Amino acid sequence: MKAKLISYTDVAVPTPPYRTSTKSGIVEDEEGKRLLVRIEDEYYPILKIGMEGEVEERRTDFGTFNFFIPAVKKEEKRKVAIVTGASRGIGKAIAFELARSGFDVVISDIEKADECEENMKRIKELGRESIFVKADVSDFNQVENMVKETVEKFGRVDVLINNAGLNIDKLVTTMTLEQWQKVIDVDLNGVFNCTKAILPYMIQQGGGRIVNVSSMSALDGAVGQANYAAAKGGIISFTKVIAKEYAQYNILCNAIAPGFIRTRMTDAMPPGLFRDRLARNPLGRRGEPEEVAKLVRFLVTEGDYITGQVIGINAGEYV
Amino acid sequence: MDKFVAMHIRRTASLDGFLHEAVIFLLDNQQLLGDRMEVGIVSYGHTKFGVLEEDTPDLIKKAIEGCLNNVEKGISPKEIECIIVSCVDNAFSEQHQTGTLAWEYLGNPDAYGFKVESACVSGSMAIYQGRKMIEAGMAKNVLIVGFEKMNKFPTDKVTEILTHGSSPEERRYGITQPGAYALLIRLYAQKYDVTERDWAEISVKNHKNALRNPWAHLQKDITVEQVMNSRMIADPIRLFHCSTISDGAASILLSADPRKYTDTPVFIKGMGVAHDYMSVIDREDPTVLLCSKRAADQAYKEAGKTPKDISLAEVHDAFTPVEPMCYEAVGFAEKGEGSKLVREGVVMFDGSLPVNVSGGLKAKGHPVGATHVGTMVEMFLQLRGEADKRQVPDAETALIEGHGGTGSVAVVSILGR
Ligand SMILES: NC(=O)c1ccc[n+]([C@@H]2O[C@H](COP(=O)([O-])OP(=O)(O)OC[C@H]3O[C@@H](n4cnc5c(N)ncnc54)[C@H](O)[C@@H]3O)[C@@H](O)[C@H]2O)c1
Repeated sequence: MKAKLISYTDVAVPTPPYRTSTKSGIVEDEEGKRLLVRIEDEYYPILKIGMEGEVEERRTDFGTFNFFIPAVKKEEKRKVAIVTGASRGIGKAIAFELARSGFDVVISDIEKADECEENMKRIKELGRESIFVKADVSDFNQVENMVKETVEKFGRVDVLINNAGLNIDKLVTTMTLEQWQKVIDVDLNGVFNCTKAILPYMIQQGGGRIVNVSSMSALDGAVGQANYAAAKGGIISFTKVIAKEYAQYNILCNAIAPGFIRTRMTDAMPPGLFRDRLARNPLGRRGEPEEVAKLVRFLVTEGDYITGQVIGINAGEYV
Repeated sequence: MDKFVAMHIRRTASLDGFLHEAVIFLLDNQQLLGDRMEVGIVSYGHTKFGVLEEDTPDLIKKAIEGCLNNVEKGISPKEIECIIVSCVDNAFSEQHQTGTLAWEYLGNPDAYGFKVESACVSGSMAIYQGRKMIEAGMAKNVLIVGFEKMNKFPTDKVTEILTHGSSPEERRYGITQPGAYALLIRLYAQKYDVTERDWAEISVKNHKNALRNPWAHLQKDITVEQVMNSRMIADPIRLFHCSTISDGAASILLSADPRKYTDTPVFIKGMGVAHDYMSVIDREDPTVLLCSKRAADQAYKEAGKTPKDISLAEVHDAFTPVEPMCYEAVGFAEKGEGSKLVREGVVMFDGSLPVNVSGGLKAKGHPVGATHVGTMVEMFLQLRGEADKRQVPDAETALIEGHGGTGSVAVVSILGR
């Protein structure tokens, strides 16, 4: 049935049985009869009074409703991702993988590695844009600026990958207070800072995806990594809370827990330890940063019903 | 034959069919009986509106005690035959039989109590009923007690309970009360000249007024910018457009013989009640609050007044963007021109027709069942010149507009001395 939109609203404080904001409106059919309609999230930003469209009946978990489908071509919407700690390593691979699947990418890092320039060039060759924004994730002001700069440049932000991290491995008896604090500041507080800064934008935009890079060390009691494991474990708990607090805004948040990945960190392991670790790995090899990146890409582009989860990517080394 | 004789006849007449008909004829043609009886307000009780420690029983008790104590020439509970309580949803009070509860606190074993519910305008509806009972000779003195205890629950629960007052179909679509108002207001804004700034100015005005009212829930000045940047609740309705979730109680005493209890009663000169469809889509013209308009027409007619006679008003600013529509419904402004009254300062505290000097539902507070007993108390004080810092000079004739749902039931009252 053809109809014309005459009013609409987005109820931000839903009431049961609804858990998420509901968008609805009033349309008038060709005889001037008024109908209540539901409106899909993706159309909401482009709604205009007087807009023509189709009304069709759809079944949902809450019953059968009229839906209004505006007669407009869906705009090819720009998608924007921020990846922290993306100048090298796993973050770099994630930035490239997201660009490959259509995202413009903000590569954020405390320092710009040589390989970063090369990565940005490859992204450009894909026809996607990227910018480098220098920011220390442990400093909330810098993080706020990073988000502001992103929105100024690209007009929106859909995805946040909290990847920045570092480790300072020591047994607790020899670990200094500063070494403990440093890792907590970057690995845990950094995730809080970036998430806090970005949530208002995602809420306003009607959704978003957040992936936090935790670690297998958070799960298996990694000796020598008390600070790192505590921070990465904290990330997991944080992920679960964010998932529940912001699902109503269509913001999904998951954590991944990589195991033994081919990066500078694992390249630098003493050969003995390296061999031992390989021997414990059921697939008998290190994972590639690109393989981690594919998981992240899956979560943000396909994982529309996945939130609050910790996904291991470790070849079965920890099950 | 004077009015008391007529009343008496009506009371005893029902036994005798013929006499009954004759009396009904006389009552319907009251000019023949001389002056129509005017029901007077003789006393009031009022708690603070806000987040209160008191639960439902204490709120009811305080409102009743306040009202009895405020009777200037004194009253015995035995003189009050009936007590009507107004509360919107028992889910808030978690208590049925609030009429009986009120009866327990009144202290007259021969009286009886019951509850009236008409969404946000329950208080006015209770008063309407009390007044009709007195006019019909069914009682001489009726006590009206409005209350609501809303802050026992978190906001989402409160919103859910309030949605019980929505049209079933809107509710099924997930459209909350602010959601339905949002649909209404967007329709209005599309057709008529009103801006987000006008809406914000109304919120600011009502907050400023509340600063003069010690009973008000929100006692803080706000700015237009704060309103316009506040969180979206149901686009285009923002947090600072919304009335407050408040606890509170208010009461008034209606009497057939007001001068027995005070030398300065306030009279209900006219009152009207009307409905419109619950769902916005079913209304003939959703940009008009038709129920308020029809109720106002009745009230003006009964009172023999016109909008020009009104010195001040309280209208139903459950969401401040609807306030201009209320002005239009009660004839303060032409259709679509309500916001002019804001821009020209007419409805400001020092304007020629101040509206919501109490702070309104926005800032005085909106303990739903108590709200429109509260507006009646406000006008009682204003017309007696007892409104202290918020006294409107030369307050002669006052109007109260209240509506429930998003304009599905309305009561309009006109008061004078
Ligand atoms: N390599 C592995 O095997 C492995 C396993 C599990 C988890 N992880 C996690 O994956 C993420 C990426 O690790 P990687 O192996 O690519 O390491 P990496 O050191 O190559 O990359 C980390 C990046 O984070 C940046 N960074 C460090 N501190 C920062 C700060 N305060 N603010 C902003 N950026 C900062 C670095 O400059 C660097 O570019 C880390 O969170 C790490 O803990 C790695």
